[in-house]
Amino acid sequence: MALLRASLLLIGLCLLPLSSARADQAILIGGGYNINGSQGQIELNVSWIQDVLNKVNMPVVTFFTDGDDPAPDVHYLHTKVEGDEPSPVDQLAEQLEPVARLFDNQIANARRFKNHEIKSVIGGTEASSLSNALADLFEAAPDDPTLLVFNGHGKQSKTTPDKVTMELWDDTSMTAAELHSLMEKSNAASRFVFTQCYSGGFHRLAYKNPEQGLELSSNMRCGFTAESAYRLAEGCSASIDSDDYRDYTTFFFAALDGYDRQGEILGVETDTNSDGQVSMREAHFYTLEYAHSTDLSRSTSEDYLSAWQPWYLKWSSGRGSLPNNEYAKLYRTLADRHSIPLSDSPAKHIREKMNMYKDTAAQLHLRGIEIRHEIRAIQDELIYAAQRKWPSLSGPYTALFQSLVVSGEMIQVAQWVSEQPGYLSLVDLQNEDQTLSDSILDAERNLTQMQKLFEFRKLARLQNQLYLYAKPEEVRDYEKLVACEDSPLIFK
Amino acid sequence: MFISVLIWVVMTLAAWPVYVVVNFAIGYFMGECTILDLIDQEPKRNLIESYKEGFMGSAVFAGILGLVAVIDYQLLSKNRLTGYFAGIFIPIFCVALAFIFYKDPNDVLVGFALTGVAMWVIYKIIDIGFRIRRTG
Repeated sequence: MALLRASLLLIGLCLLPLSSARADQAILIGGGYNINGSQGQIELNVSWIQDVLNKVNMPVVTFFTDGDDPAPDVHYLHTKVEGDEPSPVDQLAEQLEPVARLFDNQIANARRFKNHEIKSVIGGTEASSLSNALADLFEAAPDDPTLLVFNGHGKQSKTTPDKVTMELWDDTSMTAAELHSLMEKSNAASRFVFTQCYSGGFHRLAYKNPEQGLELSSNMRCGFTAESAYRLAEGCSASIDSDDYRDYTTFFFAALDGYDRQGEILGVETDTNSDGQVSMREAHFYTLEYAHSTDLSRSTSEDYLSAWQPWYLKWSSGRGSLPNNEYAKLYRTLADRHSIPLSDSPAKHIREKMNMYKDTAAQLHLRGIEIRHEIRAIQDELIYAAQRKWPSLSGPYTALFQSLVVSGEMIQVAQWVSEQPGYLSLVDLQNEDQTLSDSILDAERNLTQMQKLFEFRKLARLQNQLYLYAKPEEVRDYEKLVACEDSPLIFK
Repeated sequence: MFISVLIWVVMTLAAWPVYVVVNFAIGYFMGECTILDLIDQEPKRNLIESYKEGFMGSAVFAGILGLVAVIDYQLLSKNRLTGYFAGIFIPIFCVALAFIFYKDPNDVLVGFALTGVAMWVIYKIIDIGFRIRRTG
């Protein structure tokens, strides 16, 4: 099978439009690390990004989960659609829901598996095969500017940020440092968009030494990440209801395309400098302004500013009015939207709101713990009663349990559970628990907006300080990064 | 001699921690405490690393501050009349640092001035403490 996959990959690579003329290419990597970590949302994200890139005639090379293996590699949550004929599995799932709720498996009961439907997938994302394929791509067209996009999951580094990972198929992974060494094979400028948790570590791709230092790589690299190297990113929900999308990809590519995921034209002009094309930096600023999510997104130039900040500025308490720059403007717009007074001690107001959202989230967490205790008590009581009636329920994956399923008696168990006096309370509590999770997420999203305001104030000051205190070569490097970010989707 | 050495050592070692605490307090009361956000959003090891970098980077200035305190002690502290003003050079030196090394001193002036005052309090504790011991 591995040989077959390698052959298909090679054939695919040969079919790529690798002409001698330099042209942009996009490398799209997506999917989870195994079926349980491969949410339907990632599949839809990758498919949508493909469409956006195809619209501008950018050649796209796509790697997704297990490549062309027909085995299931994506999971999603089944939602009932009015008027649709339910499948036999969906009917059975509905009948067994009381038992699933009893054993806390209601989400697993709604989960379905399928093979991905991404078009033109050239290979899988298993680390070693992906690494070889990327090396081939960079070597085959070393002068082609590359746009590298990853949609999936990431893991934190316990040491330096360059050790954060892209979690790849078959539970493999690739660190930012490993990708850095692969990208060294290219002589052209590269841009990247990483939307996974802890993705900020991938800003180290822009530097000469991925581990430390501020010296930029000789080949210009810049990009955008959903989060810093130390925080989880929003997204990765198993839901395929596109109204739920709040992740970085959704806003960033909508800004570049001018249309949202539902195909609706955006309500605001994303080409803020009116030069006729939306740059990636403009798309990033649109995302920063409009994404009401838990992401504290950042670009490489912003990462550079934070990394540059010397100790004698870092530990000083910032005072005085904000300088007049793009981050200050962004701060004022967002502050206004969140009713933060700009003239009267705004920092104090932001901090107060921040603490309020933190308290709300903490209280909701506590209520969640209480609810889960109550759920557990009802479940224990019902399970005890059910096992007295059907003793084989106590041993799932046993012959007796299997006979219970095969004989159809499990449906009777479900019926019996649903008729018990405690069952309605169980359903109510489990639904309340779900609502509570949504409320916690909402409080965390609001909290992040306040953190964003502080981040914009910090960046506004940092940008100003860079021009006051940095060495000329540091200012030059910063401006190079900004220029790289300010390029449109098609680089040349 | 012993008191002079003690003042120099204490001033040199305390300068950076006091500067950090003072600026943290200002940031906390003004609402704008970027360090507080860093504590929230980054691993503690980054903060400790940055603190150590600041401690080492400021060591030269802390050493000079210690020297200023010793000279101040030798010049002013031993006379009853000038003893009232003893330590005055410490906040003056701190404020001067802001003007000499920062291109926009207004941003950091309060932090440096209050650090000077806090360092002056430490100096006074040593000075008065040993004076009481001598007279007692």
